[in-house]
This record gives sequence, structure tokens and C-alpha cells, in this order.
Amino acid sequence: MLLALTLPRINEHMLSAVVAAVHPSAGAELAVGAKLVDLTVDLTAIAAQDCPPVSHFRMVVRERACLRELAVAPVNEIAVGTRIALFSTDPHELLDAEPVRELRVAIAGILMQAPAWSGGGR
Amino acid sequence: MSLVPLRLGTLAVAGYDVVRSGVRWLRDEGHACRVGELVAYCNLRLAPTASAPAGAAPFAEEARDFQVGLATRVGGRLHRAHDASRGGFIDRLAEHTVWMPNHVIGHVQCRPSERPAGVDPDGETLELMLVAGRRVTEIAEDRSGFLTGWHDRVRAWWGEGEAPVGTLLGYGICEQLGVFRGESPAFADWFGAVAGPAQVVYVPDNVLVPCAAVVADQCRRTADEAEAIRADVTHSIATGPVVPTPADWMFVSALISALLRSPLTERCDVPMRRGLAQADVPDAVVLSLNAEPPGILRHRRLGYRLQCHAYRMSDAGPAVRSWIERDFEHVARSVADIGCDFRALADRVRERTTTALLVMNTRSTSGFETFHSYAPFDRPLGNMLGSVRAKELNLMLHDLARERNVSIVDNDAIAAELGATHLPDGVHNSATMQAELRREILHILRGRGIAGFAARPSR
Repeated sequence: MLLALTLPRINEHMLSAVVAAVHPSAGAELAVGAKLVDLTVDLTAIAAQDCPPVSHFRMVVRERACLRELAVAPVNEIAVGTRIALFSTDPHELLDAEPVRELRVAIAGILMQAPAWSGGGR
Repeated sequence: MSLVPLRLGTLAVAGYDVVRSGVRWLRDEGHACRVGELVAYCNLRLAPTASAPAGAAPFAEEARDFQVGLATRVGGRLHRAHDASRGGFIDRLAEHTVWMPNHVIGHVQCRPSERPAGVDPDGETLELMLVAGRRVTEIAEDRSGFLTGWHDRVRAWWGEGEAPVGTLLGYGICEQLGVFRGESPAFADWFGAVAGPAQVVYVPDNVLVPCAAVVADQCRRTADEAEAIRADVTHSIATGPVVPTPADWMFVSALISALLRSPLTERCDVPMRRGLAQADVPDAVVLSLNAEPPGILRHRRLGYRLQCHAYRMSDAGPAVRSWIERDFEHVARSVADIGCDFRALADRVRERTTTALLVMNTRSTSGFETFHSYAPFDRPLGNMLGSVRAKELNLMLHDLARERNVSIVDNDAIAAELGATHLPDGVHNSATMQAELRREILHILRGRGIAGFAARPSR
């Protein structure tokens, strides 16, 4: 069975997200709880003059699956609804059919550990 | 029906003439005023007379943005005097008109039975709310409205009688902006709720984030240490590898100016109707747990700590960003570290004053999360997940409350009661929530016996 992962609308105002990190490689067999991608959602465009909410999220898998194709890489900015990856329940399954549903994932807000402009962490 | 004149009443400062601008109306002709409603304002200036005392004049740092809001003691229909306002510079510059107690700016039309008890229609029928703003730089001028401009501190005070002026300081992040300044006009919500004599002060976080470590450093910093920081910053940016732009200089000037002040230990001049008084250091300060980041900047040589919002630093010039990267290290801070910072701050404050510490806690949940298990996330969870960290911070605050008599302004519980739509991102709150937070702060102040913040009699 083929499963798709598209970028969900995590926040009602978000239009896109920046891929901060991609954890597995294509071909990896993922157990429940495996990390998938880290995302940064920046709502600056909505409130440019005000304190812009910037949030970071991690998506993790909630079901066993094999990662077959990755459509994104770090620093890519992707719109809501964009395909992130394609999975299959059988690692040898052909990829010529349409995905039957979305991959089940969990999303959590995570902390950014150090700002990009800092001199490094301790 | 009767017409009650809106009379300015006494406002006197020994040794000075109080000079005012023309009146600028906040309400239209015919407006149905409530008792206690701010209807107009003027700009003010203290002009020294021959008998002015020697030394620095009062309001030396706020002289250009000193105003008075005028509130009617009587409810009814407003009739504005045709000559009260002439517009243009006449109404912006306090140059031409000396404050006259018997001057009438208009009238309120009401039934005699509707006049509140104790209001003398031949006496002071206007209540005064005085305000002042300290400009970040004197050239940042904006006299377009009531307390408009770029200020590193704004305050309002009111009340009568001989009792000392109670002072509340809001010194947190942007979540406090609406709580303290409120809706237009600025500070009107506090003025309407509190009898006084009271002062409410707000220090914005436009450039410097007031986390506990930074605030504690401000309280204990000596004049020599401040001078060393000023000299070091100037040298480092001027001689650094990146030529500073005007934006760099403006940013770092505002930043260092904010860093080297200490709002918790500042005393303010407060002219009242009865004369000039001086408010002591704040009787209470409200800090923000949301000001505590997972990491802070520490100067590699001088050791002082600094924190700015990331989006502000992104807007700073290239020389500032280069300075930060060269001269600062990023220090990760656990919840325990933050607790130590708060304890050090509380102890430092108690060495010198009786200032009550109030801290707004943080929203402990997130409406954006969908996970069902913590297993996929790295330990310790408080370093990884924002909602776990928020819970740990709030628990730390409860320990602090027990150990150091800190009061918690329960932002988290209020948001839960009102619903997520009133605090969608955990920081930026609705007007309803801001009003509820003000009520909660007043409840705490009254419970702690902070003078000046008793409720007004019902009008």
C-alpha cells in the first residue's frame, strides 16, 4: 500500500513551511516513532511590523512504513499540501499506483536550540 | 437639564509655571460621556520661574512628551468650547497658554439628579491623568497623539490626597503591551479601575528582552561596569570587520541604552494637583516567563548577558550581527538555570527594596500538536518540546512562589478559561484576555496590600 506525506496546515494562518531537517534517507524502514522532518513555520508575512510568531515542529511516524521517495531537502520552502515523501508498507512494492491515504504522523512543537547568528553553543 | 462646566482645576509645581498646549479632543461634540471618561488631553511643560530650585529640572528625560488626559467627573452629553482647540502646532506645543485652574474647556449636559455625589460643579470637574514618555532618542519625535512616539518607558499617574503614590511596573515582553497600555487612550483602563494615587509604568521590549538574568544584571551593575560596556561596544563595532551602517548605530545605541538602564530601581517625578512628588522605586513589577529563552548571549570578555528577539536581530545591520558573533557566546539555559536567575533577582531586589515580584506564567499547551506519545522525542523532553518546557517553567514558578514570595499571574489558567482563540500563539492576547490579566494583577496587588491600587468607588 502506498502512503503519501503532504505538508498539513499545522497552524491556521500558515501558507508554507521551511524544511529545517530531514532525518531518514530514501529506502529506510521506519518504526513507529521515527523522526521524519523538522519544519519552521514563519508567520512574518502576516504581521510584518509586529512580533512575528516563528514556530518549529517535528513530524514523527505513527505507523511502520518504508520511505521510498523524498521530495524535499533542508532549506526548501514548501507550500501547504506539497508532497514531502512517498512511503509504502511493503519495501518492494511498485510505485506506479496512487497513494491510498496519508501516512499517519504526529506533530509536536520543538525548541530551536541556538540562533543562526550566534557564535556557537556551549 | 443643566450644563456642568469642565473646569481644569489646580495643577501647580512650586518654582514652575505649568504651561499647556491647546486642547485635543478625544470625543466628538455631542458624545455621551460616562463618568470618569477621558474626553481630551493637552501637552504640558514646566517653565522655570525665578524661584525655581537649583539643580536639574523635573522631567529632564521626559520634558518633550509630558501630557495630561482630562476626564469628566460627570456623565452626560459633551459640549466642547469652541476656542478650546485651534489645531496645528497650537495644540501640540505647550508654549502659549499657562494652566489656569478656572479655565473651562467645555460643558457636560445632564440632569441635576444625574450628577455624582460629591462633585462640585463650581470646583474641579475634570480629573487628571498625567502621562510621560522617555524617548529612546530626543530626535524620535511624534507628537501626533496621546503618548505617541518611540519611548523606552511610558507611564501614567493620577490621584489626589497626601498618600504616597503606589507604582506598578510592567517589564515583560509584548504580551504585556496591551495589558499595561491597554486600548486607546493609553493607560485609560488602569485609570478607570484604580482610585490612586497610583502610577503605572510600562517598559517595552522593542530591543532588549527582559529575562531574569538581564534584569538582575541591570539591578547590580555599577557605573564603572556600565562605562566599560559602553566603551567596549563602541570600539568593537567601530573597528570591527564590517563597516557599520546607520541602521547598525541606531540599533546598538537603542540596545545599549536599554541594557544600561535599570527600570526596577528608577524613581520618577510625579507632579500631582498638590505639587511635585517623587514616586519611590516600583512597589510591584510584573515580569514575563515568556521572556526566558532556551539560550542567552553572554559577552566573552565582560561577562554581561544580553537577549534580543531573533526577528529584531535579523533586522539589525550587518555590523551588529558581526559584533554579536565575535563578542558573544550562546549559553544554553535549562529550567533549573532560569530558576537560579529568578532566585538571584528576587534576592537582589530584596536587599534594597520591598518591591513585590509578580511573574506572568506561560501557556502550557499547544493547539497545534497531535502526538500521542513522548517516545519519539529526545530526552530531556524539556529541551526538545516547547509544551513540556512550558509546563516545567510553570512548575518552577510555583517553587519560586513558595520560596521567594513571588506572585504568579496565571496567564495559563486565564487562557484555558477563555479559550485558545484569545491566545492563539501563546503570546499575543486578545483585548478580553488583556482585561482579565489586568483584573488578576489588581487582585494580586490588593491582596498584597500595595498602596494606591484600591478600586474606585462605583460611579
